[in-house]
Amino acid sequence: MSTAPGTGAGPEDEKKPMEQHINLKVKGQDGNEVFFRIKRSTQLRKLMGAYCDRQSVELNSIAFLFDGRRLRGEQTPDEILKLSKL
Amino acid sequence: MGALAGHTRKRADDYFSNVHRATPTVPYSPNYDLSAGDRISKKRRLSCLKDALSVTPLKSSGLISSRISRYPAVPPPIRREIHAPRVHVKYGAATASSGACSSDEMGNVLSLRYYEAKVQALRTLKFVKEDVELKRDGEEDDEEKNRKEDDVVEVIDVEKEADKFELLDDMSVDEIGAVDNCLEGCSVVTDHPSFDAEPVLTEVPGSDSKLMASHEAFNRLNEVVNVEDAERMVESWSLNAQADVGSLTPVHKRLYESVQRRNPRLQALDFQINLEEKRLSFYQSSHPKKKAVEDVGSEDIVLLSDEEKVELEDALNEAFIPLTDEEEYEVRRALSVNRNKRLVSHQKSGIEITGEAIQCLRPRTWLNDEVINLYLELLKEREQREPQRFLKCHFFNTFFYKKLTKGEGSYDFKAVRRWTTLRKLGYSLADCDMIFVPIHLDVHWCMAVINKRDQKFQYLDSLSGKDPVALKRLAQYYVDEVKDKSGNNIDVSNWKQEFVAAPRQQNGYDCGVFMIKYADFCSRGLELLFSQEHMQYFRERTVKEILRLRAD
Repeated sequence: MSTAPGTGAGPEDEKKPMEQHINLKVKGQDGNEVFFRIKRSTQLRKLMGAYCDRQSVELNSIAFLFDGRRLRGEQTPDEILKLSKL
Repeated sequence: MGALAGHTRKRADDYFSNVHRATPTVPYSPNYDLSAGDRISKKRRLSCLKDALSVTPLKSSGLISSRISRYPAVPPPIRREIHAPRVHVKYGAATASSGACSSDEMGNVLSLRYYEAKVQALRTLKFVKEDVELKRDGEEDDEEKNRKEDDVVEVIDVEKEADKFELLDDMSVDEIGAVDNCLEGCSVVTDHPSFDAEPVLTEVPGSDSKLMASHEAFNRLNEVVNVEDAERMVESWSLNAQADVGSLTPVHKRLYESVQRRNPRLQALDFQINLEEKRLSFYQSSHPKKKAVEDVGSEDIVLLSDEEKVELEDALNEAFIPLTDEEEYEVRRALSVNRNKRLVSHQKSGIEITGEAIQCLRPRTWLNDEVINLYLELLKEREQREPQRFLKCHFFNTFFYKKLTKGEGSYDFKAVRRWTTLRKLGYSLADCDMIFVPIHLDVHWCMAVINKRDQKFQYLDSLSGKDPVALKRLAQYYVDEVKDKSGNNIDVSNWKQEFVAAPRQQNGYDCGVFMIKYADFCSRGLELLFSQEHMQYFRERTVKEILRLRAD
């Protein structure tokens, strides 16, 4: 028997091309959604930290997924979009 | 040595005669605490001497109880002293008055300390409570605000200006309306830790009262006029003492430990024997058949089946390759590394394994999702490395099933629709022989398989659980997935549900290992030829494979 500490939220991108910023929606496992606006070149760590503060959860106790893939703090929206286009 | 021993005895004699003659003659006589200290110092000397003589470690010589416990070790002087002339009335009177005095003094100091501790602890609790109330008030305000703004979907601007981020971070929490109302639940969680102060409160008086008790026992011991009573008392102490002595590990325990130390080696040998037996049975099963077919005379078939057998055998052997000494050392080191140290990081999946995460592969621990997910990634990479040797598989991560079922047992295809695009995977699920879906049941791991090769939906549970609903959902998912990605309608109504009689776990902690090994063996196209006794080996092997980021 086992535990899964990280069963957290899945963000979804909403693309708005030609913009420096991007709107992101973080969807928790309970279905709650929180919206963020972030620079495309900003590391996701900041978003993650803000989300955890809001939800009062520990950063290392949840996992952020984008299309099923784990997101790391040092990744930026640009990188992830590039990666998913590969 | 001799001199020292003699000296000690003399001092001990002095001491005993002092006690029984008349305590008031001793300079510090009214204070029984000091006389107790006198005893203690003597005992210490004696115990030191004992140490030097017998070299037996006296671990608890620092404890008051253990010092007292050795008190009856010199009973003859007491007995002799009983018959000696003594000033009975004086002694009694002195003890009565001084005893009362000392106990009073004692009580004053201790009760003062106790009171101080209590006040302090109460103060902290009070402070905490006030704090909590304050927080709650604040949050209620927040909630009201949130409710008002519930309909408005506001966007949190994490970064309007790069350099003002810190400030905005705060703002996002304070000012900006939330879409959700889950703050309510969270506030309780945050407040919880502050209640940790409570155990401290109970502990402070607890330890003090213990001290009190032991001192009181001392006083009582001193007040006893009758020496026989004292002796009885001492005897009752000595009963306690035996418990202390018992902690000096007895022989049978030491022997048992030494046997335990040899156990891993025996297990390794056992494991090798099993492996050899399995190999042998393979040889035996392949040889008679070969002969039988040779009799028929069709050599081509013989060669083919022989080759297949060899392949199968190789595959089985590969699943059980023992770790080399070097690898074992590496594994052991990784399991005891600092919890925060980052051991490996897998670029493609974005998974990082820290010292803490890998410790879930220690014996008797529950596996965590990071290790499972990374291992499944490695299995996929293994297959892509040598596609001819392994079945074409897809391994979903541990989050998939939670997402698909919305975490509460419904069905939501849209939530995972984009997980399996051709662009992302490089292959389509419809082409896979097997699709593995780990299922997490709060305190248990099991595995569901969409087995296209055999047209089955399989459920592998090391505790023989059955969940037909899960298999139904996966059937629905498979149909939806194929339709979404290729536009084809497929019919799976004639696919069977199978609850595989998989190897069972014999304990409460190996389910995760069983689960990843089901995936491992199935993707090799092997029967599930393993059992509980292999789990320790599989744990170590998994550590090795994760450290190398390569499954074999």
